[in-house]
Amino acid sequence: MQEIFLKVYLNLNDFDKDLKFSSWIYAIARNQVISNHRRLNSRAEGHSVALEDESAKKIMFNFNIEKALDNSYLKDKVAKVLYSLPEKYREVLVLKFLEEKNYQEISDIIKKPSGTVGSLINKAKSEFKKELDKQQIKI
Amino acid sequence: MSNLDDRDFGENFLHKVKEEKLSPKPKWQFLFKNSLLWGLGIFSLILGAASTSLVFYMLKSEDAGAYSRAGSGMAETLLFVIPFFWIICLAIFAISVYYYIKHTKKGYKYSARSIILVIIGASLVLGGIFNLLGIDRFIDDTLGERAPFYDRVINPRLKYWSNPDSGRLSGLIISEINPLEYDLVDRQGDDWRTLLSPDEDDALMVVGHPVILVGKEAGDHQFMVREILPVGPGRGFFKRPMLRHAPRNCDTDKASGSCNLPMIIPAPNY
Repeated sequence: MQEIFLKVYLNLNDFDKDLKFSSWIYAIARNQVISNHRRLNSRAEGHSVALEDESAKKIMFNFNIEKALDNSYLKDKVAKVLYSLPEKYREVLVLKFLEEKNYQEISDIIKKPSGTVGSLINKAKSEFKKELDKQQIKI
Repeated sequence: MSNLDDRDFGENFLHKVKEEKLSPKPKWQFLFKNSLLWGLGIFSLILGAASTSLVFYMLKSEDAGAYSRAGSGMAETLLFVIPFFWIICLAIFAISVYYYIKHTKKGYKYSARSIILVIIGASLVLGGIFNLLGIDRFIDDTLGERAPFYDRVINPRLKYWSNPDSGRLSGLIISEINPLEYDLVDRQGDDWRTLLSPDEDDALMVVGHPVILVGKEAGDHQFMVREILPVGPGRGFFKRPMLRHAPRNCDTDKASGSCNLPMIIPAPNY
């Protein structure tokens, strides 16, 4: 965490006023985490996704799944499915539905064009649904 | 993190900044890096455009029919007509442009498709302008004159047209014996006596100028000409001093062992 703040401090003059400050910091944090993972030669998939009950609801709401569910059950299942998705899909789903970032902010964070972000989110949603079926999770 | 942890974290952070006397990197460093990337991108784009213009130049000046008249099949013709070297250069420079633009500060905002379209469009437009200005010819002449392996790698057509056994000879006309006989030095520095038939148009047989000859070998270093072709790309190769200043007509001096009076062929003004 301190490394991230140090990077933010050292690179303050690189901040682009066209961006949101939160997106800029998020991008630095993301790069730092990726480089730490690479340095430690560990797999990016090796961390868990912690979900709040509301976050799980948000995700399911966005997937148009209307079913009253017990929050803890929902949270576990959504976390399990997210956890099994490839990093690139999990990342955009988390940014879009948990962090509630818009396309432009996600684009500034993951350093990809907005159009690509849109495609990634659509693909991620479809992979998420497929994974629900694959894991035979009935919601 | 609790409030206490937050405070500790903040204090530790400030302590580290003070202790190591850290300060934000100056703005010019970021500007310099970004400008350098744009500069390298534009430079690569110009080199890519130059490669495009050379592709145009090589294709435009090629008489594909001459290859079949010289006895080559379709595959061999394509192998020499398509300027692979410049196409590979173009691809390398286009990839460089893409890489540099993507690594600029806002490069991530542009989609791969839009960058590629801009690179193709700019290469074609700039390449066309270079072609109109004759920059492609200048580059080819300069490389022909100086670049190592020019006749093998950059323009292998020269090697193709230097195979007297197969009825192909190219070189520099060094003297006119009579209107039907000319002496020529080939790309390896060997002398040839070329024999023209009376009905052959000899307009291209000019002393000091390179030519491509189609015909057949007729004895020791003699070549019977059937067709005369101009040398387009690669003509600079025949300006090389090794061809123009090679010692010649030294038979009379051989007994004394000296042959130090080179015959200097004036370089043509292309």
